[in-house]
Amino acid sequence: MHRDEHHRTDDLPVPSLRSGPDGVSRAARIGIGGPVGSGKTALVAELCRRLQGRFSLGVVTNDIYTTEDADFLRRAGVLDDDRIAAVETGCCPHTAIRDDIAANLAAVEEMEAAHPDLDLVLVESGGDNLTATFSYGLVDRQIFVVDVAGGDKVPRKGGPGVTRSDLLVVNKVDLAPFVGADLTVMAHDAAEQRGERPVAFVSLRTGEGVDAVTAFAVGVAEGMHAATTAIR
Amino acid sequence: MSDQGASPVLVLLLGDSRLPSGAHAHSGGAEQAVAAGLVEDTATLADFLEGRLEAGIALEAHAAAASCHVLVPGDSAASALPALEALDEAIDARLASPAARASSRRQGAHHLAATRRIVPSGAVELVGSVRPDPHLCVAVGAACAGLGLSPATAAGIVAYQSLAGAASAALRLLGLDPVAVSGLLARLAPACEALAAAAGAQADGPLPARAGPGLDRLMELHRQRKERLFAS
Repeated sequence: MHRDEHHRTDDLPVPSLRSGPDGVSRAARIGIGGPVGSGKTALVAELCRRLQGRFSLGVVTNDIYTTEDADFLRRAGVLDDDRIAAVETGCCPHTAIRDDIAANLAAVEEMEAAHPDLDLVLVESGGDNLTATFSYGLVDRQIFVVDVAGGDKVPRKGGPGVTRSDLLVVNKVDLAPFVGADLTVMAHDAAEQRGERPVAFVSLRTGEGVDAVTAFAVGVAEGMHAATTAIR
Repeated sequence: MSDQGASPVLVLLLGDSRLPSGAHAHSGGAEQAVAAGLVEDTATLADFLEGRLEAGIALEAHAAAASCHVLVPGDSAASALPALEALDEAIDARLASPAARASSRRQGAHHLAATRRIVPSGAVELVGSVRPDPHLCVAVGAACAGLGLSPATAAGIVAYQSLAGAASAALRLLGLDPVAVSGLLARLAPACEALAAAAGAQADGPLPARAGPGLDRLMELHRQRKERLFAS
C-alpha cells in the first residue's frame, strides 16, 4: 500500500496514549468528526439505538456550546444521562481531538471508571472543517461524516478527514437529486483520495446504508473486546 | 537556587501552550469578563491581565515555587508529603470561588497525567500520590522540580501560562489582533518576571493571601452559564 500507515496496524487494539497496567482493559473508542451539520450527532444517536443491548455504550460530545449535542442525545432517549459527557473545547474543536486531547481522554477514562462494563465509547467532535482529524492517542478508529448537500466536490478537496479516516460516511444521499450532487463523482473522487479505505453512502433519514456503518462500529467494538479477553 | 544544569529547552516545553495538558480550553475568567463587557479590546484586556497578576496569578506563582521548593530532588518523601498536603490546603483556603478551585484541580489533573509521561520524575509521582487532582500550580512545580529547575522558574512558567491562556481566550472570542495581544504579553513580561523572582525568593514562606473578589465572581458566574465555550 502506498499510504503511510506507520502509526497503526490493521489489528486492534491500536496503541493508545493511555498507559499503565490497565491499559488494555478499556472500552473501544471511535471518533466521529466532520463539518457542521453533516449529521454527526444523528449518526451517534442512530448507532446508539442499533448497538444498545449488544454493547455497553458511552458518548463524549465536543459541541461548540458544551451541552447542545449532549442534550439532543438525552432528548433522543438513547442512553442514560451518566453515559453522556460533554467537553468544552475553548473555541477550538480540532485542538481538543487532535493536539491536546487531555480533556477528552479524561472524560472517556472517567466514564470507563464509572461503568466498568463499558464496551464502546463514541467521541463526537464539534463541527469543524476538512482539516480536522482525531489523534490516535484518543480513539482507535475514526469516522468522518460529510454530506451531499455540502457539494459533491467535497471528497475531491481532500483533507485528513476525507483521505485518512477509517470510514468516510457520505450522508443525506436522499437529498442528492435536490442539490444536484452526483454520487458517482463523489464515489470516484473518494476512491482516488482513499484508495482501499471504505466509504459508506448513507441516509440517516431513510436508513439507507446505515447497516454498513453499524457493521464497522461492531467490528471495532468486537476487535477490542476480543483482544481484551485474550489477554485476560 | 538556580536552573544551573537544567535544560532551558525543557523550560520552553513546559511553558508552551501546545503542551497537551488541557490548558487550551480554559480562559482564566476571560470568557466571563468578555460576556460581562469588562474586556472588549486589547486595552481592557491589559487591565484584566494586570488585575489577574495582582491576585490570582500571584497566588499561583507563589504556590508553584513552594511546590518546586518542597520537591527538590534529594528530599525524602517523608518530609515532602506533609508539606504538600499543607500546601494543598493553603491554596484551597485562598481560592474563595469553588469554580476556581475546581478549574485549578481539573487542569492540575490533566497536567499531572501529561507530565507523568512527558517528563517523568519522582517529584511528579509524589504529587500524584497525594491526590490525582493537585492544583495546577502544584503540578507545574513538581514537573519543574523533577527537571532540576528552580522555584522561580516554576513560578514564571505558571504566571506566563495564566497570562497567555487568558489572553489567547480573549483573542479567540473577540477577534483581537494577535500581534497586539503578543505585544501586550511582552509588555507584561517585567511584571511577570518580578513576580517569579519574588515567589522564588519566598518559596519557603507563607503564600500571599490577596483577595480577588471580582475574578471569584466571574468564575462563579461562568460556571452557572448554560452556553460556554471554555471550561473555565
